[in-house]
Amino acid sequence: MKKNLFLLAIILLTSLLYSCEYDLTDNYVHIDEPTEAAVSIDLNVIKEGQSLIVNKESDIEFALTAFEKEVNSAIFKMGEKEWVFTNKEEGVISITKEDFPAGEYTLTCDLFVKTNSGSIADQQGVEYLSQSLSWPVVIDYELSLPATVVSSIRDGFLELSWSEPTLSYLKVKGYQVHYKSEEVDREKAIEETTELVFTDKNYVGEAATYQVFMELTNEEESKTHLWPMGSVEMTKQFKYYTSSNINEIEIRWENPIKNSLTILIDNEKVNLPQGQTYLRLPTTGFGSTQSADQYQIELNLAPYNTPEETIISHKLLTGSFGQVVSDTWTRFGWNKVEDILFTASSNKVCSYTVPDLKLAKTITETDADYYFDQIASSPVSTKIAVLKTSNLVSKEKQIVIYDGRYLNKLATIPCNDIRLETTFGQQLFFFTTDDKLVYFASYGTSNLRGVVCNTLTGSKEKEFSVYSESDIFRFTLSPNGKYLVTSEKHVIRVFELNNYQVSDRRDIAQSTDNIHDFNLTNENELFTSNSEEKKLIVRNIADWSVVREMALPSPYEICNNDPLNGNLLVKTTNKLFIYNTFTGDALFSTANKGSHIRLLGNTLTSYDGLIFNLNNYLAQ
Amino acid sequence: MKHLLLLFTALLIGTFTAKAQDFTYTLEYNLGYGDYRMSAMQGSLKSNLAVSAINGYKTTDNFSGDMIHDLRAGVIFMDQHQAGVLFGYQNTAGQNHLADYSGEIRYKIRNRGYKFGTFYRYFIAEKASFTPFIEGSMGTILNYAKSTFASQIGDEATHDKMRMKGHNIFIQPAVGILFKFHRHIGAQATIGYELDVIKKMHLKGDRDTKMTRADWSGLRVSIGAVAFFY
Repeated sequence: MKKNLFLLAIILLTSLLYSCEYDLTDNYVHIDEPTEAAVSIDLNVIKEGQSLIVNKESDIEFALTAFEKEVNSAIFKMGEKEWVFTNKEEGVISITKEDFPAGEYTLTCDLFVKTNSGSIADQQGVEYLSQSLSWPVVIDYELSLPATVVSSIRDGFLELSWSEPTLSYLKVKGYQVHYKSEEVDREKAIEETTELVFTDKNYVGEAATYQVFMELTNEEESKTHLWPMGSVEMTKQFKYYTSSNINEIEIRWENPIKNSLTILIDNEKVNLPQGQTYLRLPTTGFGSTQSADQYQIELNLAPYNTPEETIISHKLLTGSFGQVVSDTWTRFGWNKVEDILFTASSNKVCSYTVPDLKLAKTITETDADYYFDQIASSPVSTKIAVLKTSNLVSKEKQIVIYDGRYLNKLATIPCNDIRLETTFGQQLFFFTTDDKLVYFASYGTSNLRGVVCNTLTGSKEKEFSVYSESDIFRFTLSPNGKYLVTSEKHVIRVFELNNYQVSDRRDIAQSTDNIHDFNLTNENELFTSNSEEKKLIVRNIADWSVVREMALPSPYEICNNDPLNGNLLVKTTNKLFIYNTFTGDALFSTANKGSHIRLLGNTLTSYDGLIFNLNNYLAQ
Repeated sequence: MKHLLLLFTALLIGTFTAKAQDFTYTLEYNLGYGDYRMSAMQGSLKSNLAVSAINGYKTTDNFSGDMIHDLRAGVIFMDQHQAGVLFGYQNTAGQNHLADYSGEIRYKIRNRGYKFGTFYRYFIAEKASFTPFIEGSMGTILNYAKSTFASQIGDEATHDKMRMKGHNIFIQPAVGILFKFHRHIGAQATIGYELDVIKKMHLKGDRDTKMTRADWSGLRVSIGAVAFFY
């Protein structure tokens, strides 16, 4: 009983004590709970009604506002792709072909906006109002859309125009026009305007890109955006063309832009009549592309209103008639069977149709260690042979045989032992009328070893050697392969070959005669010349008798005879002459500006890569 | 110190028991009001406010004074002297709080003190039914405190609590007046000041972790009922 009373007393006491606990006061604050967020968004993309139209891989820029509220995040989704932007009110959505093949999509945007209610959750950054937006999207990479920025030429000046964009909440503050031209190596913002049109009076016709940006701002003008509206690619408006005939060089131009064109020839200003769009100059001759042998012409373009400020300067060297088909150090060949002209230069071999001299085919040596050099052409087939030499110390050499029609390789003949071209222009390998190729090797300068090769397989079939008492300056092989003629200091030697073996040798003592090529239209005739008497002497190779003679201009240099007709190309210091060796008549002459000029199938060729067909200019 | 108090009380009771016919035994209950100097605990609330940095979150209660309970058993001897033992209970609390539609955040510290001690009174008037007196008491206070931090924001809730304990040593001078309107019943009123001379608090279960101390020092005003036994 006592124990129960004691417990009861303890319970009562405890209850009494705890009933006296200090009462705490709560602090509940009433705040109106926000219900919805007002948002607005602008997208820099072409719209068709509610649909967004995309016709190329592009970046879609967006700018959004929740007005007084802060945007926490914007989540864009399209297809499988999702873009999340946190604490940003602007950004870029990239559309790529890889992610979005052509088709119809829906772009959704879930916006999370801070409430700014001041509640605990708001202050802790976990209270948002959400808003969802969506747009149908049509992606068609083939679709052609009207340009947003249009260019036109008005009163001779370039004019760009564009339409005012349709926006949700942003407003247009102005536009910027940016200019970029690699042709004049310049890039800059050139204009700020509030107009929907811009005229660039400084544009003179160069290739350039104009990009128009819209400068946007929100209602409070607290933020600005620079969005591209569109661009215009201006192709080169000023174009010039050069052409030549044997007498005149003509430079003709198209200049649709109103600008100031100044022409300088060798630094002298030329005044042309108003409206004239061409310039004609007499040719300086044939053969050289070197600046010293040509006119230096400048076509300077400046803005119409400031002619002293040249924007573009087109500089050209011209003067020699003919067309440049290759670089300097170009060798030429001509195939009589197919009437095809060939060039060999650097790592390329090209073929040209005759007489229009259009490029037909090109082959390029992929091994950069090799370059092409001499060319020879078969007189009886479509084969050509080109010497290919290595740039490396080994100087490895090959003669490559091609079918000249298609430039497909037929055979390769290794020829590291081929003689050096000690005399410039000395032909080192010859096709013969039995369609063999003979190249000449030497152990020194006073002997020659002919290597006879199969032109289909490239195999070396025979060899023959000739010996001299002194250095051999020059040698030539008759097209039929029956005679080899060498020239030394005081003697000319004629070696008769029978099936490419030396069967006889005749030594012709001389002091002033020079040997040249065999007449390519008559293999029994060898062209020789006498430097003292300054005449061409055509000899019968069989008995060295004189067939005919003709006078040569002084000082002369016999270049070659044309395999087409045997006409002889002769060069003096300043002139080129083509002679009919039967009549001695000069069929053609012109100023000489080049080096290593050859006449091949009535086409003049020069070491500088120039060619000119004379079909219409040779006197009959 | 506790041991000394117990020894003193035992000796006193033994002495009184030896001459029981000269003694009057008393049992009294006093209810009053006490205020406190809880500056350290108030500092905890301030720190919590500073860390939270939430607008509207404020201190709603700052360890204000509250009711105190006092139970005493004693003996009157030589007519003017009274001595005995006491048990008291006092509590207070502090709180930072904010609530709205989106959630609630609360940090509170509730502090309880259980007083054990002895007292001595000297009655100014001899054998009078109405007499003022002066009084002194001393003893220990066992402190039990609990701090709680709770928040619920949206679906996210946190709740952390911590218990602390410790003890203080106090001395309390007071003056009062006794009105004995019946041979066995009287009423009294006192006013005094409690001074906590030693204050200790540590984490419950971890004596080495010292915690914010409770300081119960402050004015004490009470009225009470007294029963006399002869």
